[in-house]
Amino acid sequence: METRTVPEPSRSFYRRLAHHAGLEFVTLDRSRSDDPEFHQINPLAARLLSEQICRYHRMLPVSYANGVVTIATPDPFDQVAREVATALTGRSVRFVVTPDEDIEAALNETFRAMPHEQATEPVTDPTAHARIGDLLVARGLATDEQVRAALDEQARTGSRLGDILVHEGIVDEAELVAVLAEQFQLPLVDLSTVEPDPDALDLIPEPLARHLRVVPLAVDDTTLYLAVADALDDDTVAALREHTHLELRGCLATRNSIDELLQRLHGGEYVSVARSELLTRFPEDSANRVLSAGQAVVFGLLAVAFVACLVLWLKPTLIVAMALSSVFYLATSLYKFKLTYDALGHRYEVSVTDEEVAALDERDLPTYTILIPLYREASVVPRLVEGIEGLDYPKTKLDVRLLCEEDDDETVPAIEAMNLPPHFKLVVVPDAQPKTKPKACNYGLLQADGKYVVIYDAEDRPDPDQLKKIVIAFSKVEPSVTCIQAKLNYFNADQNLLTRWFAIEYSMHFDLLLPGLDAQDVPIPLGGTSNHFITDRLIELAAWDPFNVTEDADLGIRLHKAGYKTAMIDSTTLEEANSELNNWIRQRSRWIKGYIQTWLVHMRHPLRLLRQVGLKSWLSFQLTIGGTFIFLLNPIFWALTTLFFFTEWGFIRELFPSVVFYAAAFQLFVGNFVFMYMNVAGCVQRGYFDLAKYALLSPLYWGLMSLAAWKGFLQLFYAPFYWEKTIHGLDQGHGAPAPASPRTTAG
Amino acid sequence: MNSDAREALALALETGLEYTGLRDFVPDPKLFHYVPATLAARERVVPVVLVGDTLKVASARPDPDLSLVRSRFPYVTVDIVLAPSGEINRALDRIAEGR
Repeated sequence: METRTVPEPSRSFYRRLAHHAGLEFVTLDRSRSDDPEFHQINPLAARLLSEQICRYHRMLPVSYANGVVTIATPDPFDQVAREVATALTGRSVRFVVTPDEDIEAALNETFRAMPHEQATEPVTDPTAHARIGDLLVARGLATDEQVRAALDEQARTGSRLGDILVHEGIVDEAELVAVLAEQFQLPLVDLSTVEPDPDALDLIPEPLARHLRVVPLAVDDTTLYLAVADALDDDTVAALREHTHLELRGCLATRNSIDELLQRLHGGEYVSVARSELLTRFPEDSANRVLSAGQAVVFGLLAVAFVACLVLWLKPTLIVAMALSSVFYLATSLYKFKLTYDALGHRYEVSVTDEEVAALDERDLPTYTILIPLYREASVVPRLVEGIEGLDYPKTKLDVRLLCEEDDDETVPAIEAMNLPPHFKLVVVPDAQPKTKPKACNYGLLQADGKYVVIYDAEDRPDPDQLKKIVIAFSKVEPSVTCIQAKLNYFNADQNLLTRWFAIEYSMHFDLLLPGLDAQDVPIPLGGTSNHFITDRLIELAAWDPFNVTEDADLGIRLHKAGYKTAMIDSTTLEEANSELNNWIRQRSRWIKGYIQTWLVHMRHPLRLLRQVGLKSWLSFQLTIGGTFIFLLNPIFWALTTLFFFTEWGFIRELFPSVVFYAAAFQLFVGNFVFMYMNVAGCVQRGYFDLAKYALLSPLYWGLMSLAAWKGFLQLFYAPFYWEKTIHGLDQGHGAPAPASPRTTAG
Repeated sequence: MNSDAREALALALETGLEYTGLRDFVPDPKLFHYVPATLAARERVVPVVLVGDTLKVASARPDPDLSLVRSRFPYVTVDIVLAPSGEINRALDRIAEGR
């Protein structure tokens, strides 16, 4: 009997082959996309293997899920192909069967997209496999041209080639690590499913592991196995040697997966550090209680004495109170007038010219951490990313941490779905009280990579060269400068009267008052965003007080107490001014509550503070931070004045005997003039000439401030740590929605 | 009929297996997905035809070691058919040339 094979449709043959082997059969032919067997090729997965390898072994990775690469091939039992695929992808592989002609067409289609033309001499040698660029090209992950561009970038910025390609979006971080594993002959580890051995974890203290970016995974009699983001260098080994003498073996994992694992393992500790570091190390500086026991006694006694005096000697007591208030008013007005007058026409800020920025060698730039606290504001994220991408700073040297609260089921999924470039890191802060911005920032700071760190709010629009200017500024100022504050202003100043007033106030505060304080070398209450710190010093100071609702102003005082300085820089960040009255009052009540908190914290030991900072700074602190109390007093004086005006009630006249009357009248006429003058001057200094006329309406604005002040003051008694969250995106037509939270005392 | 053909026929009668001649037979290269070429060369077998779930494999011996095929393809039945060893060798050569 002679048997002849009958030509058989290839597709049914391979379908049967798959069935016989118990494997899945797939169709890659796009014209059969309605077919249930049709499998869409994921182009990213397809790039896990190079064209050469795919063509030689007639296989193509078609998808990647749950750590398994699915590879389509007509020959599912090609052992060599299987081994090659497993080794090169660094993942487990699953073969599915597809017809021969499908694989041929898919190979052509997939790799046709890759440019082949090489006008110039190639910079890589795919056969050499010695350098990372060679390996990436050999695997088809990058083209010679892309490597050439990355090498140019490397020459300019000094960043590592692999990092550049990852940040350009050419290579996936996972792909890069797989290639690094090949280059260094290290095993790869997928940390998403790993449960590290507690015995191994015990060997390396958590802060060191965090600092070195390693996670101990397992330990045996001779060897400690660690997940590492990079081959172990001498410094890392030396640091680890302090704690173990076992042999060290590294397994490569992506940097972000190491961070995530560390967060998963130590999230609880991180939160408690973020929450209690200041409280533990400097309990006297923490606003976790509103009043110290001593303060409670003193204020209690004062209140009792005041009431007793009122009962016994009503008129003299009130006269003395009016006199003291007038003196306080007068001192505050004169001091602020002096500061702004000095600053007007001067440039006390650190000046950095455009030429200096242009002359900067990007190779010398350090890594810069940007902390961006977000809460229920998913809608601003795309614009935020765009803004950060617009910063003139090498992407490989940015470490942008988007800080979200665990219970924020709006922002977290939105960010996860965005597939952001690798310098953006989502940090989910575990749910714990107090749920404040400073706690989130402290948490984010724990894994910060940057030499410098800055906080921006989600809607902020910093000058594009701000980071570079800060790097230059830090090299110019004296070594004790730990913080450089950029100026804040508003992009929606012309939206309505409220935003105009707000912009006027900010111009005065950031363009005159703070530079004036800077020149006097006294504590500067920092603004809520765009304050740039030296990371190590910030950590040394236990960073922000999570219990203080104006943690930034408080930190400015603590910096000064520790002997460090703050400088101002002539670079501006634009924010969204609060344009809606209720919202504005909420925000302002928080700021004023925070200022009072700050004043109370640092006045727990007034004499100690005096010894620490000296008389000038002490007085300045009383008049700037303590000056907040003026907003509480204002309504009383306005009421008295108005009442007297209409009734000419003799009792009121008797409260202001000649000396007190002159002081009060001086304050009424000259003081109000001074504050208005300062506001106008601020507009002039900033160049907002159009706004100057609105400064004349400032007294109405002060009225609103007093309203907010009383709200904040009363809240101090029943909800001291409650964070009055500002609602954002009210600037219709001005582009960027989002929050504003810098703070200011202001006139 | 040459000697190895007679030998194969006799073996077929003895074992009750089918017999096939492979003169001018060009195997379907796709069938080597079932029986890898290296295994075919080692065991001196040629996959002949796949009918339904049954794969016919020509061999000069009644007991080639095809356990690999059975383990990889649990849902296929392998039928041995006897063929003259010279013809098997020539068929294998033709495949080797074609590759």
